Amino acid sequence: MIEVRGLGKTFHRPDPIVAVDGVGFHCEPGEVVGLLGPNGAGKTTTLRILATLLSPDVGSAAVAGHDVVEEPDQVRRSIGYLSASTGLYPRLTARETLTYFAELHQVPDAGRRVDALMERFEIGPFAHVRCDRLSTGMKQKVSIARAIVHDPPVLIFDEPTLGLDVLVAQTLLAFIEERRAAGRTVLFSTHVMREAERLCDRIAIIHKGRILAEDTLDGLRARTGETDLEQVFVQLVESAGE
Amino acid sequence: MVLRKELRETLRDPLVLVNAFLFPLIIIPLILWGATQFALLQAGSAEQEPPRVVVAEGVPDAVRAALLDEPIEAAALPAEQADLDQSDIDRLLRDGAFDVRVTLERQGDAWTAHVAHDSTRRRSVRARRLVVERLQEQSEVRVRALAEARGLDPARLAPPEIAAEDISAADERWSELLGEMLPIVIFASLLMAVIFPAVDTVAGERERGTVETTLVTATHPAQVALGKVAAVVFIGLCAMTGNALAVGLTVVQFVVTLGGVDTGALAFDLGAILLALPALLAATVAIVAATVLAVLPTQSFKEGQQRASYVLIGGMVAAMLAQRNPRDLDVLGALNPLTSPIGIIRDAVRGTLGWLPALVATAVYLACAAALLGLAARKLRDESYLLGGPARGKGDPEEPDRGGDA
Repeated sequence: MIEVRGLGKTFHRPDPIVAVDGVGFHCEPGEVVGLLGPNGAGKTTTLRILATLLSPDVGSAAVAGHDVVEEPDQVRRSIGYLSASTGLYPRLTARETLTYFAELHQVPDAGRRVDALMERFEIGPFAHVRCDRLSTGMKQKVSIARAIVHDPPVLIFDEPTLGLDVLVAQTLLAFIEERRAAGRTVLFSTHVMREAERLCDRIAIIHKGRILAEDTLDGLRARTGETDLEQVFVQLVESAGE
Repeated sequence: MVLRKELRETLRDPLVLVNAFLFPLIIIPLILWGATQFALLQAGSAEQEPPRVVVAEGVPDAVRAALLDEPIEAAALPAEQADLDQSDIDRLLRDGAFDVRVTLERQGDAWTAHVAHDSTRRRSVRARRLVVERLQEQSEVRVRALAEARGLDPARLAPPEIAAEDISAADERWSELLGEMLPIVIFASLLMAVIFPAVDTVAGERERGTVETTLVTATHPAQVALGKVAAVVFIGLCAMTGNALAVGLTVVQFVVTLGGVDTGALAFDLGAILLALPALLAATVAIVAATVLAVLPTQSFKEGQQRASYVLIGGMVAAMLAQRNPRDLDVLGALNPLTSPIGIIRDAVRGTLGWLPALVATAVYLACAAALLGLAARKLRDESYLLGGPARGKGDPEEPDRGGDA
């Protein structure tokens, strides 16, 4: 469902900064893959390339069988994208927000789809409340509903729990598990080890723009001889000579 | 759908409502109405109150009698202040104890009248005007008397009469006045109206982090951008029309009320106004495109607002300076996008706008708008637009390792 090969991206601001350096991994349908790494490791750049927001300098990436460079429109139709930094339009209501994105995604019978999502996420009582007056938890629910309003086969979440309180973060993690059960592919980045341990079928550890290891949690433990994921990460970074 | 959403969201922004609608449709008419009423009140009260004049000793009785004739009232200094010096008398004048003080200085047959008044008081100004008129009449009477005493014909001593004639019609005069005022108001209101939505839709979206999700949809980013620009243009046009109507009608009411002008004399040339509309629409698109372009590199709504203000105020000042010697817009003037916006509005109000300058100006604005939108699109394609946003959470994830912990 997601296939990434030798992806590379350098920014020039104005000095060249290598953000992603030969990254490669893959995700299958019904699988949750975590991109685990510290701030500045290249997680967001990788996910933005997959979401067609950035174009790679080298390498290739395909989402749902569509190349991110050659067929960006098809890729955009196939993904639901959510990041911690994405906000809501403060002066639109919850319903207006969902309807707007349903229309942007050209969802047939948008009204019925919006109703279904509002019921699923229990947004109904707040349907006509402006987003700037919603609680943090309700905002996050609207954000998630917005990301999946077109029922995409692939979900790309960039540090989705960053800045959320525990209860709201739990709602989000439960949603990711639900998507997996529904056979969707979920790729999400995080630097929180506990989240990765709980959710991920496979974990790709990224550091300084490179993938240091990609395996199941058990596979990573076996490779490093460590049981704690934090220790697994530290050892992989150290063995990479960092 | 983008246009609809942008309008819905923008029209819920109190800043936009104030700048684009509340200010022109309520505040400006209220201010002008208030000014009109105040002027009427002042004029009325000045008319009702008789001027009070102090005439000093030594003024001939005939002159004194003429000066103090109706509606002027003789004012006397208080008995206890009879020996006041000049500065004390002036202080009484400033305090409003009377309105004008007249003294006469004689040197042989010649005499000089000193008329002191307080220009900050309307009643005093009116009193001075009346006194001066009467002194001039007395001067003429005296000249005639002297001439007759010397056996001269007084008519030969009279200065030549000058009959001034204004050949312009009333509607032309008021059109000229509106033609000078309206372009500035319309131009300023347009700039004020587009700043907030333009900044909000560009820098605001990036600051709120809503731009990413909009760009990751089945709708092409160009369509999204076009919808946003169209919304800002629509708001700008609404504000411009509202301001033009509000100011125009209020000024008309003002001149009708104060100037005693017949409203029928204020007819405008509808054809010239319609001729100006395409050019104004194109100019609005160009102004919005310039605003968007100016705001694109900014990191936040506040920064964007500041930058857009500098650019637009600079543009407005340049446009005003370019119009210091206004004359009817010709083709050459229409080629200059700085001089033509004010010229078009002015000539449309005057009814002198030609179709060729209007056509040329429209073409120039469309070309400017296309070029500016093209530049904006190029900048939007530049990935730094997305990367230039505010730091996220524990730091900008785009930057290489800055010591964040895993």
